[in-house]
Amino acid sequence: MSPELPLILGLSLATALPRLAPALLGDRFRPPKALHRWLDAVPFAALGALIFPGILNADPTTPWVGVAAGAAALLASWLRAPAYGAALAAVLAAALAQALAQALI
Amino acid sequence: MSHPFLRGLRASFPVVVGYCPIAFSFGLVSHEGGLPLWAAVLMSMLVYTGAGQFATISMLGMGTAPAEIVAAVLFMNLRHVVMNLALLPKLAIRSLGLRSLVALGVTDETFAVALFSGETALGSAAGMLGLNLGAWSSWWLGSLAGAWAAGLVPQALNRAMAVMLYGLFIGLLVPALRGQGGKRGLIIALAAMAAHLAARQILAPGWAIVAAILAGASVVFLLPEAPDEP
Repeated sequence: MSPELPLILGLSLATALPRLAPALLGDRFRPPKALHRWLDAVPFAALGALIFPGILNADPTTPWVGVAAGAAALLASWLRAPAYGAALAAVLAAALAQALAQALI
Repeated sequence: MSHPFLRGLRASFPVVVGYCPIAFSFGLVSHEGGLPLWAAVLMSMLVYTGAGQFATISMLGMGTAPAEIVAAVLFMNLRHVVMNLALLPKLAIRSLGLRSLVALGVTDETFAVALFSGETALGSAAGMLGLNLGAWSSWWLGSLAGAWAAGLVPQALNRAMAVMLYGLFIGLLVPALRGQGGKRGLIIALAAMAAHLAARQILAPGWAIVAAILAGASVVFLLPEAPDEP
């Protein structure tokens, strides 16, 4: 069996259970307000934790490639580019930074 | 008027337009991350979650163990408990099987369309199934197209592709902060970044991310409640 299959099955449980639980519960349970607030905050925390400090190691030779890519993505989304536009800006900035680093060394 | 299923399918159009490029990006980065094409497509079909799938590729790249990835994705998706608790009672679907099928297809975006688009067909199981089918199909078809196209990326860009995920995360975070997240969302995201930096010193990479998400989200209790909060 390929190593990806158990991971994919585990992940599909991790996304199916939160979606299914309310369907199985019926209409009786109402979540307390505190839980509601906390769950609303989770996506922001998740994105923050995913971006930093990982972005500094995106290029193993220097953190500056990640810094350049992050700045480009910030600028692009600041100018209201869609998410994939920010991703594209990051890749182009990283390619530029890598070329620059190569030229300087 | 046409059948509720078709009206639901039509209501999925803005979601489809939004999903296609993100799904395409997922196909691209999954290829960069070394995932075979079939696994990328199967993941989009079965796991069916945006940020969670990108997080998976990112954590696989860090060498995170599968159990830790599953735990992180579970926490990221707990919000669907709240969404379905809000949505399902409005639909009043009697059959447990049908209710479950509708519940499995709910995402942040289809939830928003179902509640706020004003399309009356979305009050029925048929309409919701149309909406969900449109969104879900575009998600895995877009992933398939991206994973296939990844082989065509020029060599010069290959090493730079490693930053693509981070660009995408930033591109998702900034508009969310501009919208409902606001200053609160920014403080929570920054807290999670700091927590992640600290947690990496003492925990394995995967658990460090899980701990950072839990800690960062908990900072919400230190902040004043927004006036529009439900």
